[in-house]
Amino acid sequence: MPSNSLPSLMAMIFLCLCHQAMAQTSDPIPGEIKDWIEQLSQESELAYDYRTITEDLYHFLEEPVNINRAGAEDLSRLHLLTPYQIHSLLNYRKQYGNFLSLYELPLVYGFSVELVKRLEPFIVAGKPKEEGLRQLPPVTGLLQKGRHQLMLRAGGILEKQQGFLSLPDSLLAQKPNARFKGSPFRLYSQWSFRYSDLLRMGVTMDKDPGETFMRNDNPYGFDFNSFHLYIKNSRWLDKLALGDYDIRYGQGLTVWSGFSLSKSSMVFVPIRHQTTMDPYTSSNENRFFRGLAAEKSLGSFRLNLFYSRKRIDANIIDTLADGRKVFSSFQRTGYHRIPREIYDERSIGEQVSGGRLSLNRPHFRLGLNGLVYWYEGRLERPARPENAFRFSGSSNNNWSFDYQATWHLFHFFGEEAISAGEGFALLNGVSAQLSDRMAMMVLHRHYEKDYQALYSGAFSEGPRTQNEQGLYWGIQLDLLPDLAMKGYLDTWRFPWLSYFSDAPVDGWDGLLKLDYKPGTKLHMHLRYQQERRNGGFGAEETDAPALEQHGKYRIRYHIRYRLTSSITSDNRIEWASIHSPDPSRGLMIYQDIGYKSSRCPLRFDIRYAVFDTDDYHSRIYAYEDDLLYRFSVPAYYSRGYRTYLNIKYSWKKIDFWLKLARTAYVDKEEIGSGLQLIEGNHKSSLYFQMRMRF
Amino acid sequence: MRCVGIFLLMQMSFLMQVTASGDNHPAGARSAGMAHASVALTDLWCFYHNQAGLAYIEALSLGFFHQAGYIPEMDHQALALLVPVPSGVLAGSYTQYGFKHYQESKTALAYGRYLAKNFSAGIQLDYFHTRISGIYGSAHQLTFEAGMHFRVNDQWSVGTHFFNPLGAIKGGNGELLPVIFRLGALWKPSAPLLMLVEVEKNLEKQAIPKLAAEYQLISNFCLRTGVSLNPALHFFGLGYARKGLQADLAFSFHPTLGGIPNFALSYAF
Repeated sequence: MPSNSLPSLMAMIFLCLCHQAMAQTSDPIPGEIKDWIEQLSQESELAYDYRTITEDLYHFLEEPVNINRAGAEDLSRLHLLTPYQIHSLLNYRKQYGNFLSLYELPLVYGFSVELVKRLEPFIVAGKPKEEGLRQLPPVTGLLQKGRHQLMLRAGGILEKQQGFLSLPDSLLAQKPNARFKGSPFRLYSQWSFRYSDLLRMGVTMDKDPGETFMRNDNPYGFDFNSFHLYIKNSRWLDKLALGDYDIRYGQGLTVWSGFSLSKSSMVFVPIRHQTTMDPYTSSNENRFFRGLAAEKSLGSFRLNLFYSRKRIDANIIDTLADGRKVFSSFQRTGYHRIPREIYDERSIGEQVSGGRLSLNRPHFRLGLNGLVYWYEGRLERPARPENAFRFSGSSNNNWSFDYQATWHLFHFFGEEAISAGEGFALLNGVSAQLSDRMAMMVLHRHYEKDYQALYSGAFSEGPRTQNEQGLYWGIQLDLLPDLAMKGYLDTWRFPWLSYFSDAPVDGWDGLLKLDYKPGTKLHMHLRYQQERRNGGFGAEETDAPALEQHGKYRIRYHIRYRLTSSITSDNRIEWASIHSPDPSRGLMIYQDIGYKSSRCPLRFDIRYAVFDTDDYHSRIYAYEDDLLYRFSVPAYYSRGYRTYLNIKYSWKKIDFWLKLARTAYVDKEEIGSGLQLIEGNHKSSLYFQMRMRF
Repeated sequence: MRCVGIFLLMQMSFLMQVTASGDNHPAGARSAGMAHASVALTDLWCFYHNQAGLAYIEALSLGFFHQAGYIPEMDHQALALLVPVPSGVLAGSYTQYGFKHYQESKTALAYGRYLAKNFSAGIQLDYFHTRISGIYGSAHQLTFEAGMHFRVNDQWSVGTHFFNPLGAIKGGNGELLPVIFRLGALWKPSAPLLMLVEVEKNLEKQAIPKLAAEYQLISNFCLRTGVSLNPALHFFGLGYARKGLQADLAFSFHPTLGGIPNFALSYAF
C-alpha cells in the first residue's frame, strides 16, 4: 500500500458519500470545450472542422487515459488540464505511488471535485503497466487487434442557391463565374485505422458544396484528399508521421499548424503545452503539413524534424519572365467551385521544413526551434500602408527559443522568436495555483510590426502573430464547492495599421463567468463579456475614421437540467449590445431537449431558437449538437427562428446520424448574397452520416 | 520624440482637468499592487480608502508614499501618521500632486474605532488646496469622507466608503468635488492568499470594477496583482515586511501610456 493510503481511503469514502458518479449524458463533450469552439468560430468567417480538438476526447471515452501510466503529453490531450495541474498530478504520483481510484484525485493540489467529475468520462486509474500496449505488435497481431472506422457523410442546403440555378450557355460563356460547377451536396468520407495510440492511419476525402465530383477538374473523385500514417514508439523512432500532419512548437511563435486557441471561458487556454506532432484528420484544406515528420528521444533531449511539400491555393496576379508566378495573397477558404477559384487551386508550390531540439526535465523544458519555407512563386501584396511590414517574397525563416518551468506553485512559460533577421516576437507568462481553490495567470506579448511568421499561431487578439502588444490576466476561482468563477482581462494595442483601421488601435476585452452546479442534475452559468476598441473595426472600407470608440457587451444565462435519466433540457438567453457610431442590439433565446433512450440505442437533440438582432454586427453565436465530428456554430442575426433535429441511432456496429435544420426569417425576402443567395425567407439543411466500426 | 512629448502633455492636460476638480487620489503601494480594490483592507494606508480600517491599527505608525507619474510633472506623494488613542485611532495625512506651476494638496485628519465586535467605522475631514501659477491663483475646498468595515467571519470582510457624500460643499472657486462611493469585499480562502473585489462609483465617471489578489510567497514577502476597468489597467506589486517595517513596490500598466511605479515605506513603532 502506498504511504498515502489513509487520506486516500478517507477521500474515497467522503466522495462516495457526497457525490454519485456522473452518468453519461447524451453528449460527452464538456460545456467549456463547446464554449471554446463557439469562440473559435466567432473569430473566423470560415466554417472549420474542429475535429482535432474533440477527436481525442471521443477516443478517450472508449479508451480512457490511464492516470497511473500517462505522461505529461497524454494528459495534455485532455485539453482540460493546465500545465501546472499536469505537473502536480505527476508529482503526486511520484511521491505517493499510484492512484487507487479516481476518487483520490481531488487530493492532488489543484484538482477540485468538480474538475474530477468533468474528467471522469475520459480517465481511469488503471494498472500502471499494461502488457503489450506500449510497443507495436507484429503486423498480423496489429491487424487483428486494431480498429477500423469508416465514415460517410452527405448533405447540403435544401433551397436552391443562386449559384446552382441553370443558366443559358451563352450567358455562362460571358460570365463563367456566375455558376458553381458542381452539385450542391457536400460529401465526406473517411477511413481510419487505430491501434491504441501507437498506430493511426487514415484517408479523408471531402467535396464542398459547388465543387465537382468525379468529373471536370476532379476526375478521380473528391476535391480534397488527405492521407495520414502515424506510428508511435516504434523500434527506431518515438514518433513518425507520413502524409498529412500537424506541427506545434513552443508557444506557437514559429509554427502552430492546429487551431490557435484564443480567449474563451477556458482562461488557461493561452498557455500552449500540446504535443509537438499529431496526424492530421480534419478536412480543412490548409493549416496542415504534407510530407514526413519524425521525433526521436536521446536521453533528456528530443529532436523533431519535418519536411512538407504541397501545392497551395493562391491568388495569381502575374507570371514573371522566368515562368514563376506572382501572387497577391493565399486563398484560405478551400473552396474550388467556380472557374476563378479553380484557377487559383493548387497554383503555388510550397515547401516547409523545420526542426526542434528540446531538453525535457521533470521541472523544466527548453527548446530551440527553426522553420524555413519557400514558395515556387513570389508573394507581392498590394502596395498599401497596412501591408508595409507584412511578408512578401519567396522565402522566409523563423527561429525561436522557448521554455517552460515549474517552481513552487508557479508555472513559467515563454518563447522568444526572430524572423529572417528582422522583427522579433516575445511571449512570456506565468500561471500560479495560489490555493486549491484559486489559480491565475498573466501573459505578456510583444510582436513587432515586422515580425513575419506565416505558420505561427501564438496567442493574439489580432489575426496574426504580428504587430501586437498586450497583457492578458486570467483567474479561476472556486468560491464555493458548487460555485466557480472564471474571468480574464486582456489589454492590447496594434502599433501599426491594419486592414480594418488606418490608425494604431488599442483596446481591451474581458469575460466573467459564474458556474453554478448544485448536484448532478442542475448546471447553470452566467457569462458577461465586454470589449472596447479605440479605432475603426469591422468597417469594410479602410478609411474608417481613426480613434472611433467601439464597445461590445454580451450577457448570457444558460441553464441545463436533467429531467430524468434520459431527458436533458437546456435553455439559453443571450443579449448583445454594440456601442459604436452605428449602434445595434440583439437577443437570442433557445430551448433544447436532449433524449437518450435507456432501452434502445437512440438519441436525439431538438432545438427551437428565436432571435432578434438589429443587424449582423449584433449577431449571436450558439454551438449546436451535430453529427459526430461535424461542427456548426451558426450566427443568429436579423429576426426569425431556427430549429433543428439531430438523431443518432446505432445498429450493431453501425451508427447513423441525421440532422435537419431550418432557419426562417420574418424580415427577409432573400438570404445571403452573391452565388449563395437564396430567394425566400428560409434556409434548411439536411445531413446524413454513417459510421461503421469493425 | 517631440510627438511623444506633445501627446503626453495632452494626456496630462486631460488628467489635470479631471484632477483640478479635486479628485481623491488613492495612496499606498500595497493598495496600488492590488488595483486599489482596498476598501475592505485594513493596513496603514487603509485610511486613504476606508477610515474604518484605522480601528485595526495597534501601534504608532509613520508612512511615506510616492507615485511617479507618466511624466515627472504628474508625481504624487503622501505622508501619514497614525496615533492610537484610548478610544480608537487618530490619523493625519498630507498628500501632494503636481509640479511647480500646478499643485494640488490634501490635508486630512481621520478617526476610526470599533463600534461593536467585528464592526468598525471611521470619519475624515479633508482640506483640498489647488494652486496654479501666474494669474490663476489658488482655490480651496473642504469636505469629509466616512467608511464602515464589517468582519463577517475569518474569511470574509466587507467595506464601504463614501467620499464627499453630501456633494454640495463648495470650494473657493465654486467647483464641486465628486461624490464617490466604494463597496468591496475581502476574501481569505487560505492562509497565504487574500483576494479583493470592489466597485467604485464616481458620479462624474463610469463605475470601476476591480479584482485583486495577494499571495504570501514566504514569511515576509508578498506578490500582488489586480485589474480594474474604465480604463482597463493591470497592476502588479511586491511587498516586504520585517518587524515593524514594511516596504511595497507596485506598477500599474495602461495599454497606451505604459507603466508607472508606486513605492511606499512605513514603520510601526
